[in-house]
Amino acid sequence: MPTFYLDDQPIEFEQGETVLKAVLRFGVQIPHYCYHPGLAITAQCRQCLVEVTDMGNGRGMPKLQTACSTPASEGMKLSATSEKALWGQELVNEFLLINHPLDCPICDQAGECDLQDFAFAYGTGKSEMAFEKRVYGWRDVGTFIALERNRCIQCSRCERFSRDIVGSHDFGAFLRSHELTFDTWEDSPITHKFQGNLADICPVGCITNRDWRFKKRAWKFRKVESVCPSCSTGCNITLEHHQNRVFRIRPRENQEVNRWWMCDEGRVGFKPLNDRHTRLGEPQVRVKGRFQTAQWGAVMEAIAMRLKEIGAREKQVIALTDTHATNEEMFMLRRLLADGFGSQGVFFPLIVGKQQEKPTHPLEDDFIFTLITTDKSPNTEGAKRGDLIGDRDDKRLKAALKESPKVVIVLGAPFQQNSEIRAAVAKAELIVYIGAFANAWSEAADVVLPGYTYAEKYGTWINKAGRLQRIQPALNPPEQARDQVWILSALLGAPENGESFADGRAVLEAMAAQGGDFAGIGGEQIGHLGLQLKKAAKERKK
Amino acid sequence: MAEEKLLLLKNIRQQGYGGDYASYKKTGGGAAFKKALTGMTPAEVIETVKESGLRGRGGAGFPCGVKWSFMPKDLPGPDQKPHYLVCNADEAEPGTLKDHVLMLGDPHMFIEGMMIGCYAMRSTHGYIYIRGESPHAIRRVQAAIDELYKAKLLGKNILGSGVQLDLTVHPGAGAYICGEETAMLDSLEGKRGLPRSKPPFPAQSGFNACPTTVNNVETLANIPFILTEGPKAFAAFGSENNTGTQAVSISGHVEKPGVYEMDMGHNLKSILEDFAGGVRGGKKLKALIPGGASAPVMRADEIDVPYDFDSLMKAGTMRGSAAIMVFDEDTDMVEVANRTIRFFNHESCGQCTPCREGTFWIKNMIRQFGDDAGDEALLSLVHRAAGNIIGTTICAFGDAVGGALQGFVQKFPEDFRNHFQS
Amino acid sequence: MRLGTVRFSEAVLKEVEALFARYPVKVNALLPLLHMAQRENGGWLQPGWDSYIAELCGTTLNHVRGVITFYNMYRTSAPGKYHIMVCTCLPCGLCGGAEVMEHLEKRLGIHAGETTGDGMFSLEEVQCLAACDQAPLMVVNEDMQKRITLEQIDRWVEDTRAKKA
Repeated sequence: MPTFYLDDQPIEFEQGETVLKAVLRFGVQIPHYCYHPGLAITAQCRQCLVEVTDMGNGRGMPKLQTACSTPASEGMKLSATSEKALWGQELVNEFLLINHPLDCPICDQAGECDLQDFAFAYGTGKSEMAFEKRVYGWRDVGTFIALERNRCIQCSRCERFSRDIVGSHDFGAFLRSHELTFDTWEDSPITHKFQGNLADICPVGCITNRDWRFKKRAWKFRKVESVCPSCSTGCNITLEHHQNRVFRIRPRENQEVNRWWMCDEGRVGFKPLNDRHTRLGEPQVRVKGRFQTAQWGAVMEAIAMRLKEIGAREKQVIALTDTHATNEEMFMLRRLLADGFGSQGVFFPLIVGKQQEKPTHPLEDDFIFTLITTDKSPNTEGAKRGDLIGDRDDKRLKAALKESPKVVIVLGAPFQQNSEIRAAVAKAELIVYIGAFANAWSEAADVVLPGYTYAEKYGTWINKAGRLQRIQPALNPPEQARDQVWILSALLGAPENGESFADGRAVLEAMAAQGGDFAGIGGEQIGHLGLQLKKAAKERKK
Repeated sequence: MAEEKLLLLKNIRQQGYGGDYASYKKTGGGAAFKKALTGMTPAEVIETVKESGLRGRGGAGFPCGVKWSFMPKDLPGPDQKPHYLVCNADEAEPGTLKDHVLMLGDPHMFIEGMMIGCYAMRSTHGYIYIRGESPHAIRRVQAAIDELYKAKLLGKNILGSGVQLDLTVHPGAGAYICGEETAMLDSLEGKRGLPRSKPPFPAQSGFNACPTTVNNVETLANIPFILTEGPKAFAAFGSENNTGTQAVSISGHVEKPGVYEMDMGHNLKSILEDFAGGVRGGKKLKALIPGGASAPVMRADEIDVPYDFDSLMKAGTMRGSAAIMVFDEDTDMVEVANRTIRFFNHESCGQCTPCREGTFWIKNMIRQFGDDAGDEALLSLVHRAAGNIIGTTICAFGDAVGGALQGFVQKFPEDFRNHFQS
Repeated sequence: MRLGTVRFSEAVLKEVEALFARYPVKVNALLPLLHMAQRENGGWLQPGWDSYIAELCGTTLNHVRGVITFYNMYRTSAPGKYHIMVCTCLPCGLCGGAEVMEHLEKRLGIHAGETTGDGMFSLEEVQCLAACDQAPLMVVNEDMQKRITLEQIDRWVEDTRAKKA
């Protein structure tokens, strides 16, 4: 690979790459604001000034160059730490702070602010500017974000994002010189579903997330890598939490799935996690029509006794699961029905996801609009590949219900809206509900077993494109809740009747050993960015 | 008074010259374009311009023929990008008015040069970007183009050669920065006029991302002469690396402000005294700015130098667009600095941090001197802040601001000291 | 004003078509198009014109608004019947332009950027009009008055006011 040298450090680059891109990938920081890998390069903030001592042909460049716009070339020698380069970085920093309010103590961005970080690392720490600064007011500019223009450093990321990525051009550049401002117009508030990205890419506290305004300091957050559960795209996310509450979901770069972006629907997907009203905390058993809380041991014993009483087999036992369930839970559910009752009847609601949003303006690349699908669950593809039963009008489920099953196990919130199915299930002799939240099924159930949310457990989902991605625990579950896979293995009578699984990771090992789509796959293969699976066996045949 | 060398203004200086196509033709106009079209290949035209040594008159003084040779040589086919020649007639540099004189007095001369340029660079459409504040110039040039369409010298199959050429006048809308060539291209595309980061250079990716060359009005006005009389005849004017004549604008405190044409390299002192009649009202010269607001100021004792690109650069300033602004002994240089920085602050496009924030800051500091509230620390701060804009921005505007302001502080510190807090 | 209520007349639309024909893409013609809109509407862009123009050349509203606010010449408020521009930039400013500006402000009772109450005069401070050899100067609508004196200004203001009365 071709190589250039930054302060004598050899750095490899790909043909056509700019210096900054290669340097950042290598892991060295050069301060920068306007550069964003997902946006057009404008080289306007001038913060990433470097000295080019040799262009690769023995000659240097007389002026400092911006690393973001300088194409890398073989043998090039640069310095980001020479006296001249540091002079450039310092002076840009000084100029940027001339009109910046330095209101870090009341700014939500503090702690994760590029300006703050770079000023600390590269600035001089003093200002000789003795005049009044520009002052604007702040206001909400969309349903999701607020704008505080005093803090703006005119990097134009917001304009380039709304012009080139979303196309609606909500953020425009207005006026010029020191009056240059990036703003929306009062008569046209932002309405698209990608506003949160504007808060992400704003390097300072100018555009901030309305949702957590003044709620938490950024440095308090603990961050856990996860996957967005709000639709079948499975955007890679970071769950940011503190004191067992999630405050924010932010996208995590994955070029194969969501690049740098995610939608606002996904960003609010953490709200149920903090919901303490419908959260199920303890096992419950219906006694004479009323729920009573019970200990796990007693509940499991009671279920076993009741099952023995009913003596249901094969078609008399069915299970319903939603497609928020992990592959591991689906696997365990199928095993429970097959090994426990000789039944194949595990049903899921099949939703054929379509692209939900369309650009309002012509775009060269409308990638971001493909992110939101109409399938609001993360693992429909997993259910399909796991050989669970799902069809468009739930015909096979309805047929199975006509056989009057005696035992129904419900995982999560499948078919909740369908009163016909609910009524048919209600006739069963035993309904076992497993899930984290109360819903219509938990109301109808005879036994309620509290499970984990996606932020409390290990597991995997398969997105719409057949990419296997993993989730992992961020929060502590209620004391009496249990991982769904443990509950399912316990229902099968473990440990007497087979293995007991502590969490999804152990189940994945068992699945890998069994072959099929998961043959040989472990957490390492999936990694941080997921693993693209081959087309499902059924698809391959076609 | 010294004699003018007339090459660009030769028609304009004639009593009763109409400036329409008929008058232009009578003086031999149009022959150069015909010669190029019927007797020269595009490469030969470019070679001839190169040989003449003609340097761009817009400010940077880049050799015109070399600039033309950067354009792709191939004929733009149906699947290739079209080539464009854009004429920079924005002329917004304070003190500059020579392009206006050319456009209003003899528009056909530079248009012919432009047509030759289009032929040489295989461009079928040229745009003339004229500042919107000059409706008279826009109308004049438009009328000239209309005449050429009528004479079938523009349009399809010109003179039976199969060559097609259209020219369009594009009005600006009031932004000095659009005189910078890449900002001009943005503006021509219908955008805010923001200078672009180079590379890519306009010859690879200019107007609508197609190969484009931008030339100043005066530069193009030289082309017909070079083609008809030959590059040697042109190079006979001026000095070795600074060939040809130049149209110089003189304004400020002089007896006879205006535009004068002379050899490149004519002595600056002589321009002031022999052409412009010396300082107004018999006063003494204090300073002059030799190349528009962007050029660092010169003290009275520094002006005995040849007036061309290289000599002025050696003198630590620049020829720029050849606009000499003269200040008499009563002038307060703080006021000059104040008007200069107000102009630059108003006209900065705002995209680069040093220029956007720097012009704002320095404007405030100079105003403080205006309020007699300066001190030594503030003076050195002006100097430092101005220096920090030099070489740190996308376009040369930043260098101009910094250089000009540092010039005032370095050359006339006593004027600033007169405004110190007592 | 409601969107869609402003539009060019049929005759001007023909002119617009001819203008578009001179550019590779419609949006290239944005600057001349905005000039045209001002010309047709008393020298300024009333609300609604920005979105109409955006629609005409197939671009976004904020693109057009960005352009309008970038350039000096596009106005979003009505100019006076006589729009006066005075250059106060370097050579002009030092050769009397500043005094002309000050005098006009006093005489008309408005600041630069404002319009007199009767809508007769509006005043604008501009940078370089490329007539530095004629300083000081004042441009009224399109008419450039060169090497003007304060007395001439007084006379002109009086004459113009009298004409109206």
